[in-house]
Amino acid sequence: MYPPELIAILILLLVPVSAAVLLAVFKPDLVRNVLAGITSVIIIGASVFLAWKALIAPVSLTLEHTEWIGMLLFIAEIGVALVILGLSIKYRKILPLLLSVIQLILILILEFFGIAGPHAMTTFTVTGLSAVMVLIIGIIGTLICVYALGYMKDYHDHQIGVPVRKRYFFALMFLFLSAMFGLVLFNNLMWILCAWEVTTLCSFLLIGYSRTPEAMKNAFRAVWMNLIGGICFTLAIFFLLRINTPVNLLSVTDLLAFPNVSALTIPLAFIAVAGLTKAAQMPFSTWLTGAMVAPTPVSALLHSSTMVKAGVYLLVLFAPLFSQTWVGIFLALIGAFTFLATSALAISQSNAKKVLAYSTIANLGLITACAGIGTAEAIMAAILLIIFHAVAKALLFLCVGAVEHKIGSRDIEDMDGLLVRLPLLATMMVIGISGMYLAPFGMLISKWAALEAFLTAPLGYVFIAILAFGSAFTIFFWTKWLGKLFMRMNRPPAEKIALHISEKLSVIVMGVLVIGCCLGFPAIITGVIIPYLNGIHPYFYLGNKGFFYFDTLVMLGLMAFILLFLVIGAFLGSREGRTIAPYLGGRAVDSEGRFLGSLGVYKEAKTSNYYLEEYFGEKVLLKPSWVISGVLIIVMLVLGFMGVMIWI
Amino acid sequence: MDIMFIVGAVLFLILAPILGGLLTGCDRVLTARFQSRVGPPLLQPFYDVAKLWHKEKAFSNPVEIIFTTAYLVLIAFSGAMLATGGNLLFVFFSLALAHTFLILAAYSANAPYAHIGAERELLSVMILEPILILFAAGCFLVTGSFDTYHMLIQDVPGIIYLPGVFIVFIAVLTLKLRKSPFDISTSHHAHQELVKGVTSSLSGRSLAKVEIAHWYEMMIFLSMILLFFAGYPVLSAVAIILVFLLEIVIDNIFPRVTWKMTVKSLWIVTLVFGVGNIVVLGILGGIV
Amino acid sequence: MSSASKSPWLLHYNASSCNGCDIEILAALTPVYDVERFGIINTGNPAHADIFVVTGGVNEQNKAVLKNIYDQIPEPKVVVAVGICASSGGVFRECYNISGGVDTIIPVDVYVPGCSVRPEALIEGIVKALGVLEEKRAAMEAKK
Repeated sequence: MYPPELIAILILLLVPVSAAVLLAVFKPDLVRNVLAGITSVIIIGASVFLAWKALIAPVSLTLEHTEWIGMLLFIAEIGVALVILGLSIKYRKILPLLLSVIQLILILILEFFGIAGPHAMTTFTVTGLSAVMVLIIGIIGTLICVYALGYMKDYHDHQIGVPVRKRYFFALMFLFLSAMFGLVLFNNLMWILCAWEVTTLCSFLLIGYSRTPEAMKNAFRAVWMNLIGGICFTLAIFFLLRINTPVNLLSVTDLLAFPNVSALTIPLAFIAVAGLTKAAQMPFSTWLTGAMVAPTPVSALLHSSTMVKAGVYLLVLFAPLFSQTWVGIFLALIGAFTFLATSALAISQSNAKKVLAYSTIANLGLITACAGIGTAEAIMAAILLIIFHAVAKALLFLCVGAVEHKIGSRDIEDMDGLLVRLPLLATMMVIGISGMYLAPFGMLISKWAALEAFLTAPLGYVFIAILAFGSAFTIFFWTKWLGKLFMRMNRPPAEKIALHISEKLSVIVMGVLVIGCCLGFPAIITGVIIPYLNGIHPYFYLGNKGFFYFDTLVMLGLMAFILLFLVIGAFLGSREGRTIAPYLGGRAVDSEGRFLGSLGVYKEAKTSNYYLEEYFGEKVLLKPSWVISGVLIIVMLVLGFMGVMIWI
Repeated sequence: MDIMFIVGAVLFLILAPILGGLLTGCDRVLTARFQSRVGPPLLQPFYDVAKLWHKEKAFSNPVEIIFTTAYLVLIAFSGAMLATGGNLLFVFFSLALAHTFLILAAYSANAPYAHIGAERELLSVMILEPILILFAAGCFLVTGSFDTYHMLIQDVPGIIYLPGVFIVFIAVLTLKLRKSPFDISTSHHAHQELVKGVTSSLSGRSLAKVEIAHWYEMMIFLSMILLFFAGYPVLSAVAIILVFLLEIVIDNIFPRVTWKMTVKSLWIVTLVFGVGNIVVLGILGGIV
Repeated sequence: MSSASKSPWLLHYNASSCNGCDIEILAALTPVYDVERFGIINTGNPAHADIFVVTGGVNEQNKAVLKNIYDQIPEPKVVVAVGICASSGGVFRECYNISGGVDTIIPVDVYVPGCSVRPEALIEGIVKALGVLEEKRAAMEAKK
């Protein structure tokens, strides 16, 4: 009696949460592994099916009697606020306490005084954009959960003092998946807000998983910043309700179709701030870098590929509205500035997870910039960035996590010669890093698309200048990491611990996904993005645009072919010849590259990468960046209240 | 793709190293004359490469063979792309990839000089990146496309619209011709701070490949000057010769520029002239 | 004459010389004499060198260094021992810490005696070395 799409949606929403309950109950590892495995297969199946259906034609489903769902979600939301409230009291944190009280009051006002009665509206919508998100959450999200099964075992072997709370951990991970699916599938802003708050809570609890003082500190920082986002989201809903119109503005589809955008600038500005906090844009970036204390699967799932993407998802969703307002331009400026500043900051970091965190913020900044500009080309670039970033960055996080357990360090300086020491993980890491910035891989294509989008946008030249310098920094910090992997230092070999099968499986599948996305990018554009864009901009026609020009595609293919040829050459090519010891200014060197010290002892020559802290250190850059981005946000809000529009 | 384009690519692949080698020879002779010396024969660069080619196969790490090959192949590929009037951004991305391979070759040597050389080479790639993107953006604002082909068939030479970008381009050429800064360059000056930095661990054929790649790259960058003077062949030729001479002069009067000075000075030039130029063009709404 | 002798790149090493010969060598390498006319470049890097110019009688401290640098030069390579100390140990030959000539450590192709060596002798020695370089290269080719 139900259409198959609805069943798929219900599976995506309910199966993870039910699995979460079961995972919270059963303790044995075996039960957990089987349960998580089965759930993952079901989620992947349902999300692929739903995305496939949505790509053929956007899915839009209306249910009757949705009041009880709304009620349930309202209770959940109150619950979230109370949990945060309780923990804030327990740990005596004033700011989160204050913010959660404000949020609670706002929600109560909204629920009991705000809404004038249930409006009929579409319950679920699945457009191309949400289909992309569903695929990312469904495939990458579950792969990370599977990876975590093996990872957490090693984690507790390494972190001796941390209490083992695997049930709690996995329940939260799966609960989070449900919330994310809700966030991208719901059509009602009130419901989206609820899912939004649940993701905040999951992130908060998972960052604090180890309960060390540092973890708790960072968890509370994350929660108060995200609460600001939640409050702004709620305020956006308030201002939407104040607009006097028969249209139900709480419905996303109706909101997007609302003709009078000039009335929407205030809610748009608040939504922009909400998106900025979730996506950890400047000046809110510190919560994401702090969140790296969490176990690596958490960083991979919440803090790179999905939850922070929820922030930019919201911005991209409303991009057509942003494109007509000055709020959008300033949003784009904040994003572009974040891209520049965090790319520079990443140079000064040697902690691999910190580099990944900064690069995540930088790429989210680029997506934010595209969303703020909001033209069809910009939205295309944003979606491409979302896809490629999610796969490549998740892969990198998983690699760093596994490598950390094998070599006992997440410092890039300790990763030299990784290709010799841990060939599989290092190869995957090379694929991931190349995927992040090198031609002909995906991120570069997206950056190219962004460049074209900026060039045709109002004030585009400012963005071009920022992008030009930002991508220069990007090249710097990625290449020096990549280089480290190829160094052949004679370090003691890594401990002989085999990779867990779950880790191996996830990493390999993710690596294949990165390459697959790169090879399939023309298909992604024509099959996913163009139909979505045609839904918003009916006259958009990609045609022969730069990177999508036939000749360029051929050249990209040729380049990929050259690279393939080189990789084959590297494996099959002749290695005959004499190995000569490195030159150390004439010092005698032994066969392993160590030099003869003055006391007749052989010593290892060590050089480290450049980190240029006097220019790019956190101490130098963070504070000015906060000031600049803070000013930009204030200007954005002011412009929102003034309701300034762009006339073209 | 037009047959002319393929002919252009093939011609570039054959002629660029010959011309590049000759120009390098000219450079060395001229530099010697500046210093009141006679200097090497004009064909000296070819002798050097021929000698290197016949040396023993020796390496710090066998992987460097494939990396230097990749460097050469990709640089030549970028050049061929440029010669077919291809997409400027693509040419730049391909060049960046090529340099990544050179840097990886230096990293894989696992030697301190090579490592620091690699870091500084990486810095030079970083210095260059914004300038190249701004250049591409400038071309887009003028012609509405990243294709060099459109830049070449312009009625008005590009320099009228992009004088700032041209100035930046000349400034950058000093870096790209491996003249300055002395502490990263692999030029033929007596001693370098890092005993030739990025190539310090390369020998024999690997070094020869890097040298040939350098000729290609020099031709790529010199032929980009054409884009500024398209439609005026005589003017272009004069401009290329003048710029080349200018670079030799700059090289000889600033022999001890360090990498820090290079980053600062080139980025200031880029910010003032390059970004300034693009902003003005953008405010005017582009040319198209 | 093949390309080998048209582009001889030098590497100079002082194996406990008194600096007399080194001054002569470096003077000959200055722009004044313009050895670049013959394609000669003073590389300072064994990986790039063809001709290894060594001065001094080689003491205990730099035996290993000398051997190491020699090994780092790819074939074909020629070693020129410059000065009487490098050739035979000279007046230091009997010292307790002197090996007595470069050829006690590595094979030497050309000996240029003198204390210190005269520029004319030095140039002649390098020209001889070019001949040896040619021979070695021809031998290498033949072996292939």
